[in-house]
Amino acid sequence: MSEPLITGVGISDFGRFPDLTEEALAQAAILAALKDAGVGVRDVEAFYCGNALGGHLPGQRVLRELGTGGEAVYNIDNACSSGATAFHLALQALRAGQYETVLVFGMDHLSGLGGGALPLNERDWNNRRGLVMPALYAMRAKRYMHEYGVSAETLADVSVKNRRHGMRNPIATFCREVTREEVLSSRTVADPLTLLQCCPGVVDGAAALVLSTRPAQGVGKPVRILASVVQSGLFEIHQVDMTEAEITRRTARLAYEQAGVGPHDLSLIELHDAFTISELLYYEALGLCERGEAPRLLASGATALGGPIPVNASGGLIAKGHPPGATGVAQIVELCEQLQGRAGQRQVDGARIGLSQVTGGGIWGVDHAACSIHVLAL
Amino acid sequence: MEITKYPQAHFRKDADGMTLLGARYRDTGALRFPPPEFLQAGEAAEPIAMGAGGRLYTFTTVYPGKAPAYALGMVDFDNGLRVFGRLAWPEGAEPAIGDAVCVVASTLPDGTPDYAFAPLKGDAA
Repeated sequence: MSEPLITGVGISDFGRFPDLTEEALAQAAILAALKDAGVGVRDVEAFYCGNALGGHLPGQRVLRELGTGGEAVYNIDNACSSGATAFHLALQALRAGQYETVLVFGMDHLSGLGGGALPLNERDWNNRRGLVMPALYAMRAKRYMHEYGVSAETLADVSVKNRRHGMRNPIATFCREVTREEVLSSRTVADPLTLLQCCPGVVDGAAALVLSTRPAQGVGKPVRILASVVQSGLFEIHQVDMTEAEITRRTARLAYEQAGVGPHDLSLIELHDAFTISELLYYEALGLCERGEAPRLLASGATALGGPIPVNASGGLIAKGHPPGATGVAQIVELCEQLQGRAGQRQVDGARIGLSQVTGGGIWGVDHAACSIHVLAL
Repeated sequence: MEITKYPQAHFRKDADGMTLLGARYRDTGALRFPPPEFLQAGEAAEPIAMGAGGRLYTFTTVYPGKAPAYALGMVDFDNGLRVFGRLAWPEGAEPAIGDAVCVVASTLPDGTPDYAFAPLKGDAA
C-alpha cells in the first residue's frame, strides 16, 4: 500500500462573518482543497469533520449540498483538538487500507455565540466556580512570571511577533499590527493577560485537506506525515507545576520518536498560542529550550520569521483567531503551504520539516483534555 | 451496575468555621478533593478534613467586561492536594503567591452554598 499523503489543502478567510455560516465557510475550504488536489467530491470515500461548537451532525450539514455519494461522515469533537484529531483518525483509516482518498475538514462559527471566552462545560467543578480558559492561563502566567522573573513586556512581545506575522497572511482578516505598549494597555481580561494577549474571541473560519494513497494529481507537491499523535490529559489533583505543559511535552516526545526527528531538525512550528503565555510554555514543552528559557529564546528573534525556527508564521491563533474545530486543520494547511513554498510573504526559506501542536479543552483535574501533534515533510 | 452517590458534602460549617472535606478511599488510602460524585463497584470513601488552610500557589482576577470582576486561585494544602476556588480578599488588598489562606463561606452564582479562600488574618497586603 502507498503511503498516505496530503494532496490538497484549502482554507477560508478567518475573521468575523456574522452573515455567513460554518457550513458555508467549510464548503469554501473543501472546494478549495478538492481543486488543489485535482479531485472531485465523488473521488472521496469518507469525510472526517472536526467541530467543537456547532451542535449535531456538522459534517453532514456541510456536505449535503456538495454532491457527495452518501459516503461515511465522521464527526469528531475533541474541543480545540477536534480538527487535528479528525486528521489523525483519517490517517489511521488510510494506513489500515480502509479508504484510498478521504477529506478532512474543520470549522466553527463563533460569531453566533455572542463573544467572550469559549463556552465550557457548566457541570465542571472548576467552571462552576468561574474558571474560564483565559483565567487558567492567567494563573499559569502569574506563576511563570513569579518563578522566572519574567516581565509583562515579555508576554506582550509574543502578541507583537505573531500579529506581525499575521499581517503577511491574507486569510487573517481580523489581524492588525500592534505595539508592545498597545498590547499592555488593552483592557485586562484576566490579570496579567490583556485583551491583545488573547486570541480573538469571535472569529469564524474553516480549513480542509485531502489525504490519499493514490497517485497525487494536485497543484502542490504532496506532503508526507512523519508523525501523528493524539494524547489526553492525566488526572492530577496534587501540587503539580503549572508552568510545565505536561501533555504537550508527552505528546511531543511520542511525535519525535515516531518521526525520527528532534526539535532542532524542525524548520517551523505552528503551535496553540491561544494566549501569549501558552507560546512560551510550549517552546519549553516542545524542547526548543530549557525550562525558564523561553523569554530569552523569544527575545533572540529565533522564533520570528527570518529566525532559525519561526513559530506561528501564519500569525497563530492570536493573529488569525481560533475557531476551535478549524484550528488543527488550519495549522496543517499552513505547514503544507510552507513546505511546498506557497506561503507568499510569510514563506519560511528552505522549510523542510514542520510541526503543528494543538491542545484542547478545560476540565478540572487535567492539564488539558487533549493534545495533538503532527510532523510533516515533503 | 453498582453506582452509589457519595453522600458527604465537600465542606463543613460549624462553630470552628468552614472546613473543606476531601475524601479518602478506604482501599488505597488515596485522598482527593473535590470528593467523588459517585462511587463505583463497591468503592468506599470517607470524608477527611483538609486542614485549616493552605498557601496560595497562583491566582488571577477575571474582568468579564459587563459583569463584576472576581478573583480565583489555586491553594496548596499540607496533605498534598491543590484546591481551586474563588478568592475573597478585603477591598483594597492584593493577593500574593505564597499567602497563607483560610476557607470562608461563599455561594456559587446560582446561590448554592460553597467555599472561597480569604487571607489569614494579618496576612493581607
